[in-house]
Amino acid sequence: MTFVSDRMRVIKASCVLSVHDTFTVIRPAVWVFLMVVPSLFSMFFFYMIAGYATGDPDYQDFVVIGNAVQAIGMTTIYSVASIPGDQKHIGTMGSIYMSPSGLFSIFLGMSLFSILAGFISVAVSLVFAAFVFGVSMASMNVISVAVVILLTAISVGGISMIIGSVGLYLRTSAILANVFTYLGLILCGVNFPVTDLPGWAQKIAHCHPLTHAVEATRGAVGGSTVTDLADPILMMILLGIIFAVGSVLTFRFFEKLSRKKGRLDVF
Amino acid sequence: MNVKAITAAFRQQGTQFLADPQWIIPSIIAPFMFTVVALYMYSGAGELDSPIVLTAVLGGGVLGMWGNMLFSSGFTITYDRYNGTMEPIMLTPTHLIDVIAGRSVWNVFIGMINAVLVFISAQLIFGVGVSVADPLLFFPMLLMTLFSLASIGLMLAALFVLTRASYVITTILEFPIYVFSGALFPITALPEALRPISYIFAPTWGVDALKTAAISGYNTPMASFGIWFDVLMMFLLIAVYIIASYFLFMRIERNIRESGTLARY
Amino acid sequence: MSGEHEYPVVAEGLRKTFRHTRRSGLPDKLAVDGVSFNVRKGEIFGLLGPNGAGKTTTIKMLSTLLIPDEGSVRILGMDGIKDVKNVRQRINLVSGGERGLYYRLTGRQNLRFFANLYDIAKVGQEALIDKLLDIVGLTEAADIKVEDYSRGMKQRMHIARALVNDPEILYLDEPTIGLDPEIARDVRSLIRKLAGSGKTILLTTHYMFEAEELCDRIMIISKGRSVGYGTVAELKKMVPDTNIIEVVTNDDPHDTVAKLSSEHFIQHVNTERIAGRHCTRIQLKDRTDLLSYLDTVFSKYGIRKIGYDEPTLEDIYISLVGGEGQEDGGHHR
Repeated sequence: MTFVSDRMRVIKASCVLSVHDTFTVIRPAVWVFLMVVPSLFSMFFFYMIAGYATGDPDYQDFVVIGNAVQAIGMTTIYSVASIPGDQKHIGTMGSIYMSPSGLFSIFLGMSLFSILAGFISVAVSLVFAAFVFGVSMASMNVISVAVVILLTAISVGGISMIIGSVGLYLRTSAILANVFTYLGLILCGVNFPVTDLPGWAQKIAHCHPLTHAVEATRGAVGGSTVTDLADPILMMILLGIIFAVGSVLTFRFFEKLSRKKGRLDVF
Repeated sequence: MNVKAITAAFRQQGTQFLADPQWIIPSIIAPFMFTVVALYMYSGAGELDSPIVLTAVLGGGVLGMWGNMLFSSGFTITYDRYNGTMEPIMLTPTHLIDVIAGRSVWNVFIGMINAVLVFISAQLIFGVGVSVADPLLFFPMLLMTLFSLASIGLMLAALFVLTRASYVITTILEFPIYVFSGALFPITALPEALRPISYIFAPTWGVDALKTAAISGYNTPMASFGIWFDVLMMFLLIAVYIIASYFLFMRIERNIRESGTLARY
Repeated sequence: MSGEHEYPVVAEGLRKTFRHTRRSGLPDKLAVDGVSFNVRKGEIFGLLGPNGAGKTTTIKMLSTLLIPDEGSVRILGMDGIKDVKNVRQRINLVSGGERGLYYRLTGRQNLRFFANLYDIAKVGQEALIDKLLDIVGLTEAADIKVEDYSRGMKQRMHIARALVNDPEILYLDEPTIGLDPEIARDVRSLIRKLAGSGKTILLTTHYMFEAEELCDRIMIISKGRSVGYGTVAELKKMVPDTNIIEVVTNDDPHDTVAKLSSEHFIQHVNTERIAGRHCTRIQLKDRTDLLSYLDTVFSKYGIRKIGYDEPTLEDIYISLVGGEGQEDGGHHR
């Protein structure tokens, strides 16, 4: 079992490193603030538009919960997707690579922190939804909300790692990370139903775990149990597995490609 | 004011941008996506034919310029720190403010690309064309709005120098303009208590002036003072921003020379 | 005011403490502790000292980048702390390292940008840039982006950048650090050429041979204080000839050297392998005759040569600064 335990140690060390990394630049309080402010503002912004466009409080609730889930964008999608690119930028990729630990374990460890942060940011945003925007949480099913948020963070983390893998090779991974983060706003039914999108876009939307996450969260806040939400939850698990495997494969592919072309330290 | 330095900084930023233009994407993606989403929301509500949508398109254009300005100004100083070019700049007799001013002008200029992008997508996705009722008034207003954005950029860049965490400020400042400038929904929809915040942002007046010039019969409580009041307010706010920037930059130069934190990243 | 100052750079009682933020938990650092010296017109003046001795802090205080807590700086007769704008017109600084250039711009574009910040007239600007590129030997690389430059090309570009305002005083902070030996040699000959053209040059280095080779006068600083100041010859007088003994042996005298280094009469001792032999340099604390004693001690290693030697700058440096920071001095030729 040393293979597994060695790996776990690397993953843990990388996770701790990324915690330190975050908190030397900004204080923990500022970090929490930062995580929450954009989400609060985008909730407020779309809440206003929803109100101005329709005057329908139900639609406003719809938008607020959607944006609460989208809060995972900056904390997980963006930060995970930009990890390899950042390491290259700081110039630590070479020395990390020289260490005997698998690069992927290190990446995974660093990602875990962001995945945890994503979980927290969605939870905090839901609290805002209730207290600032008056979304009724009376019938909320706490267990399903917890399950859904956890699955959201994990499955979204998986797809973000695929995007991040490209950063091993491309110098422009920050751009990719950015586009992908904001794409969720349009594609995933955050602010308007997915059915408003053109047909081809709807197909893409169903492959994005966030789409199912948003749908499941709305259900869970409305009182649905885990069994009621079997469809979106199973979809998230399925997509989560596909993306986890996919991330290992794409990571290996781009790792090999970068080694061949000597691009591990190019940015 | 050192025109030669400002021009040189404008050119330097431009050359640098053209060497690697895809870096514009991170700075314009958020405002672009926000505008498209807002348009979807209005169209879903069956408002596609109303002037609301046209105002949203115009507002989205301004947001695009803002996004680019904010990120570029935030990054411009970080870049020099990271790159080690802050020290050579400080060594010259030119004031830092002139260098940043030149870059801000370029950044806003490039932000217009983003505005055009919003206009094109509005046409392609929603079939909403941008027509301008009074072009003779619209273009001077556009220039003025751009200038007001550049002056905020200058002031923000100063704040960015003072902090290591410019990313923090960028993130915090990105959204208030979306909400408070009245770009995508009128500020009259905001709670009364929050409205004064809108009035201290020059882009709020710019958005209003642009809408007044573009849409015949456009009317908001702000426009009821007439477009020239918008112009006056922009002038005043631009002056305030520039004076504030001047003092901030003087302080920064002093700070840097006293603490020696200049070169640290 | 046309630079007719015998001492274009006059530093008096410079003192600087860096205060760290409370959050960093670091104690305040006294970087420069009362340094005074002056630099003659047209000379190459060297600030020599180990890493962290305060060389860079001193050079920054002399180049308007840092305000001293105490003391005064006069540059070409002007107040180097207050009259910033005029001083900056007539000085420039090269810092060592990879950073400090816009790497997405070409060399020419970099120079053009800085020329404009120095308000160099548009007429003649291109000719000036061509001339600078020629001086530093980058004419052919002028239109290549700096990111594709080698380390040595970047360093030469730094120098070209610093010459853009034709400064009367040029500061060079560790100008050859991290360069290949041949490139470092090129840079040194460039520095000599610049001094020959009438510029006053102040450089910092921790390479002894570099200081010895380039500098007319030297100040050695350690822990923020001056510990020696003068020409190389003057500094050498500080250590008498009879204090240095050199022993060349066939075998490695490692054990004996280790023993000797803890003896009270020894200032410093080190051994290096040169051309298959072992050369041990012993610096004595006092002028005691220990030649015969050492002859006995080293005899078991097979002595090829033993005798007094003239002190090098490195010996002086060691006796003034102590053992610290000399580990890479002298062997980077």
